[in-house]
Amino acid sequence: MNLIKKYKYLVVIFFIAVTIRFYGISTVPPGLYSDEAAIGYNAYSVLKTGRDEYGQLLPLTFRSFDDYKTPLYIYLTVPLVYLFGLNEFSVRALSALSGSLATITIYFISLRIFSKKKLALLTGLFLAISPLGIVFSRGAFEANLMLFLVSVYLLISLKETLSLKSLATLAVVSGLSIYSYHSAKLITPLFLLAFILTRQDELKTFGKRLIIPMFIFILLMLPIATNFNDFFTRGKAVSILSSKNIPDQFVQNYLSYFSPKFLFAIGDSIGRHSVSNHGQLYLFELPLILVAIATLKISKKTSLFIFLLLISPIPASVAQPNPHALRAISLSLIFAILSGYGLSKVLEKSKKQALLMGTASTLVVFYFFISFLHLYFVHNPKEKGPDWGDGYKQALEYVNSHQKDYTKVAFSDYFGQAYIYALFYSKYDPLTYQKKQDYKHQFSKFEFFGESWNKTSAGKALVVSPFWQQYPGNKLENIYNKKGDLVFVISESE
Amino acid sequence: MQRILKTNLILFLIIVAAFTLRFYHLGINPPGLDWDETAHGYNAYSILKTGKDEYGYKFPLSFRSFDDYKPPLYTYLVVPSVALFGLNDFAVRFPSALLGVLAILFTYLMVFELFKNRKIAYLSAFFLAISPWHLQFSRVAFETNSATFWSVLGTWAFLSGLRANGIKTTLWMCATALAFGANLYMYHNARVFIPLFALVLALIFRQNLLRIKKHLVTPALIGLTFVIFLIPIVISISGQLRFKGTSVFGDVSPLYKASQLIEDDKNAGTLWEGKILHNRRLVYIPILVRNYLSHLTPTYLFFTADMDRHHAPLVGLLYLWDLPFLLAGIYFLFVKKMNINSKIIVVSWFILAPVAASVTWGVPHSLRSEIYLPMFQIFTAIGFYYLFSEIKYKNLWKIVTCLLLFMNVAFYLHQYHVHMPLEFSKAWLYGRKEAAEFTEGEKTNYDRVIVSTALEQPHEFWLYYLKYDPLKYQQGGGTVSGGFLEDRNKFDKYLFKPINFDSQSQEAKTLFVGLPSELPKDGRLVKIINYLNGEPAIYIFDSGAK
Repeated sequence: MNLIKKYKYLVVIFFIAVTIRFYGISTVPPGLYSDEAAIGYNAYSVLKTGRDEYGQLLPLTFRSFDDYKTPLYIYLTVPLVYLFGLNEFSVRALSALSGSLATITIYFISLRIFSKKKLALLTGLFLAISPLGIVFSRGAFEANLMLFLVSVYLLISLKETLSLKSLATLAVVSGLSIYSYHSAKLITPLFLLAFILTRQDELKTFGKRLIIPMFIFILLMLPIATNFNDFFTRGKAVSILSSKNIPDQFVQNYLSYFSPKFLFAIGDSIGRHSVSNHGQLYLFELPLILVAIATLKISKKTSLFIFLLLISPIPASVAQPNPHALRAISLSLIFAILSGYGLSKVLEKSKKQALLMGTASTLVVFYFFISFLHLYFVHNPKEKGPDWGDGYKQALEYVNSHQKDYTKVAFSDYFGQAYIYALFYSKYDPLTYQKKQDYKHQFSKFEFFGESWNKTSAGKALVVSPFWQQYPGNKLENIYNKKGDLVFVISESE
Repeated sequence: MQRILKTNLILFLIIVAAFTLRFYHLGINPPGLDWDETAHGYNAYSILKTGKDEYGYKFPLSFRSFDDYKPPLYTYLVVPSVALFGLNDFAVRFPSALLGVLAILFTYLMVFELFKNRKIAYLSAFFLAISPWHLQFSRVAFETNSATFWSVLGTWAFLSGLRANGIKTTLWMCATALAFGANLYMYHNARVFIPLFALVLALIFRQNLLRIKKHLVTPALIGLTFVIFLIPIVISISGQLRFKGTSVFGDVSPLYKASQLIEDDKNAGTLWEGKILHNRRLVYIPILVRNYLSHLTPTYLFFTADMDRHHAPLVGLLYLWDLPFLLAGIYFLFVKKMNINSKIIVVSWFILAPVAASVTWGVPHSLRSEIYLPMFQIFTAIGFYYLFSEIKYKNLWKIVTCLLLFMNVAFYLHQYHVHMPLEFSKAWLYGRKEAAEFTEGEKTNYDRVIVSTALEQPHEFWLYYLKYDPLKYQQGGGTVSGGFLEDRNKFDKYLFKPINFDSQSQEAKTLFVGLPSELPKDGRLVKIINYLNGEPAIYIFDSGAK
């Protein structure tokens, strides 16, 4: 109770963060993206059988769509699926929770760097309402889990005096972060290196006892050594190694993360990563960040987070496409700190008109915040329905309630990975599915087709086709998304 | 003379470098004139011979040209150049290149006046001298480059005027008024930039100006004269046309989109929020912000620029080398002790520069925002200077940075002089000259020559390259209209209209000039003109009938 009293403003901020991140999370964003469905079904599969959809026992990387997903998010989702069942909420909850908790860690990060409570609260608030934070916290993005872990190890590394316990925790958290998202495979080692270099004098005083955190870290890295290839498959697949002029391409990609147009005006071109015509940050943060950059003193404490700012876009820059906000998500921490610092500087400077400035900035922040929420909750779900696979659920609900009358269900794979939706929404028994040899193409009554469906066996079939394709037989039902656009046509073939 | 040279040896060398970079192969590379350049050339020629432009307007204050109503100053600057060198590519580009060189001199003077630091002034001038952005537009006849010159000159004169006494103040301020006033007739964006920038100057120095107000009467009158003559041009229908044609407000789709969002809000039960947030008076603000910010996109500045005609292949508008110094320069500008007024001048110049361009479509637009120069160079100079003063190993630093810069510059010059003509000759509308000269030789064998309007403003190219007598042209009616769909322009045996091969070849014995895609099945190819990379540019053909 005392703790709550001591941190009452932080509690308020955390409460705001939780509310924005969890409110209506099952339906906004609408539908589920295929990666989310895969996370959900694999967690379900692990829960029921201890194996993933391919029958791998407790895998280190989840093969999924041959993109070899990092495992931590899926394993941590297992208890959620156990508690809440296999649904949108349990898939997304971990991301929303990570994003909410990050507002607490960033508060303490800011407090450790600047030793100012008000400034720390501002940073927490800016992360809580950050468009970048909100958009990624409300989808099952593994990167958001990484963001939280990064914030934790940044916090530990800023400790005034290091203890063996904190070093051990640092080892655990940074080790785990590598399993949370692909970007961490580059950021974390770089960060640890910088940490060791900047604090080597202190570290030396630990002498032999340093073996303990090192041992923990190495222990955590061991599994990777056993399966080196799969662990880096995804990285290779999206890398710029095939580009003609790699250094040029890299610099170009890297710089694109600092493009003001990207940050403040249009955002990421991938539909799920931003609200259309809204930047990854608020426009009002632009002057604040500029003020922060102009006034920030480079010290032992600030240097670590400036370093994080500089390395955050690296993993994303060696990949395509760019700029890719998700892969550089740790930037959101830095920008929140800079914005908070900038605003506190502005308020500090305007002492005489403190009240006026305070009111004005509150109004500005409030206006931008409200208009973002409006866009995000009212218009974005409609506009971005196709990006989120809105329509699968509705179609599969119809299929599930009618399939007993048919011998086959033919489902269009036009949008890709339809099988995972069928598994997810029918909660198909993982054990039975794993036993099948020809994964993905068919299971139970389901079969999947590309351009058009050809009858393969006798009996009545239920056919789900995209609305523009020719459908066989009689039309039974139109499936609309939340915007009211036609997505699928369900028909019946004799 | 020797003494002056000795004390200013560095500046002299910078100017020589600037001159060489701007005049080497001027008129040869870029490998062709674009339509605006030919328009300046032919209208200047027409003014020189007859005192009238291609439409027959006497000494116009804005050139109708392609119905884009060009500000007049550049064309008038080409007149003496054409008188001196004849009507050719060099003469048309000469004023731009010359003012480009002078801009470097005045940048030195202005920066010295601002920061009282000779090294920063030298560095700024040097960086401008080698700037790909400034070189690109100094070597072509685009008005915007001269706008940079007038802005720098005016600012320098203004600062000098503040420092001077008595009659000298009046003279300096007159020079300021002339330079800024001239700029209003130079380029569209200066018409936005100069008034705003002058306002900033007036606000910063309001107390100084009040003190010398009796010296400001004549300059104010000069300024006023420029403005008075400008008013009818700006508010005329033609001025509005240019604005509507290029501004984002001409596009109503954002309004449509906003009304759609409000409609959605109505259905979602959030009507009143929607009415506030998607208010149609607000919809253009985010677009303007986006356009404005787009000018600071790093990829655009350092790698891609905006369009082929605005940069050399693989080189952007700034050197990649500039990047760390540019950022450091902006940083130092804020933290180092410098004259606060100078800081405000530099920063407000930088902030105001893209305002005019942000109102237009097709952003970022390096041409419409060239007025940024020489601010990027000044920032880089400040960054370079202060970093150098704070670094330990000065000799090593000198060698490494100079070597890297040399590599950057050498790569740029190689790209510009070797690869640009080959790769971008299409963007430079190469082939019009060759085609015009070929048809001139062949025209006696035909009743008429039809040049396809798919070549985009062919009449201007033919007039220019054939040096057709302006008087005869005007007597024949001159240009009918410069719209992109215009098909009534003609002179001598030349008609400029869309090709309709079957009917047109029936009417008379006709020679056709068109794009390769326009060659009809039964046309007889007379001549192929290739781009410099070997791709076909223009086909000249007839019906083949005797």
